[in-house]
Amino acid sequence: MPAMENSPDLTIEATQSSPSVIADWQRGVITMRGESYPENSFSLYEQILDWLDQYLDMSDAPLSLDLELNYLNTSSVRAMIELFDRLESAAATGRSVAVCWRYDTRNPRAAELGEELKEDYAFPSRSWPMNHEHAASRRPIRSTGTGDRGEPGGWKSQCNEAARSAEASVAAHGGSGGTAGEHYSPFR
Amino acid sequence: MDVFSTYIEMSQNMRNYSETRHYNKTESNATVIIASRPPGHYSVSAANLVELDDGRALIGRIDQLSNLDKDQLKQLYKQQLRDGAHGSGGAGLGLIEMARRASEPMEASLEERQEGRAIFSLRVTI
Repeated sequence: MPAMENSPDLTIEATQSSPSVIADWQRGVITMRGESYPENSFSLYEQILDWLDQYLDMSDAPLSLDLELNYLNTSSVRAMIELFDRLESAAATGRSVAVCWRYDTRNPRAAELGEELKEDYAFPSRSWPMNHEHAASRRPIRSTGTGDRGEPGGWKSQCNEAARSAEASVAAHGGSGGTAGEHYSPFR
Repeated sequence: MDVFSTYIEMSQNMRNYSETRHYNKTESNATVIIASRPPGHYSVSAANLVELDDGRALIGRIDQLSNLDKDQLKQLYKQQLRDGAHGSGGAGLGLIEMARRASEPMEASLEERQEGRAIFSLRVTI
């Protein structure tokens, strides 16, 4: 991993049992995609927690988590709780934070986990169902109507921004499904 | 998905346990078997070597869990998520997860072996 001075971003490639992670300092977005059931989830999540701590410490900018995780084993859920706890503390001090929880509509367990996590936190989080064609190509579902993007700086626009950033980041980092320049809103 | 998650929790529980106990390769031997149980069910079963006392504690724990309904299991899951020490094996959480996915009470048994050890068997029907 490059030193902080060289690149403030964190990029972790996906493996069969761990998700891809892109933490984009400039945009203030942590994107995680895939499945998370590594033997040692602590060593994976520790890197993300470290990045998050530095970001919250050194910047005042908003932070979003853009999550598209199909499956988490219990130790990954436990680690995710630690990420969410950090966000909750930051939100309590007036920091703008948000979580977008995306899931394939064919995967009720992913939807359920998102809901269960949400129950315990006060910061804004948004479940974001995707139909499977879009999920398969890792693109969010498109809105048919005019979307409510919320007030500037509000969590809705932040969440929306997170989504756009995620697409751009994934495209920039060689991932699939980039939709740079395309406009969509998940909010009905 | 529930079969997969049960398989993962079970195999990772067993691996964590044998590492905690510093078992050698033979002692750590374990197999997870997934079988279909018509109509529409699957069973995920495994057996592994444990210390007899640990095995008895596990059986007790599983009996406790089998008396809880899904809502109680959910509450317990959330509580354990927060209480469990980070990085610990946390078989507790894995067991609760399996109990939540199970369509009938989990079946566990203990077969005593020499030197204060036993074979612990667990079957979860999804």
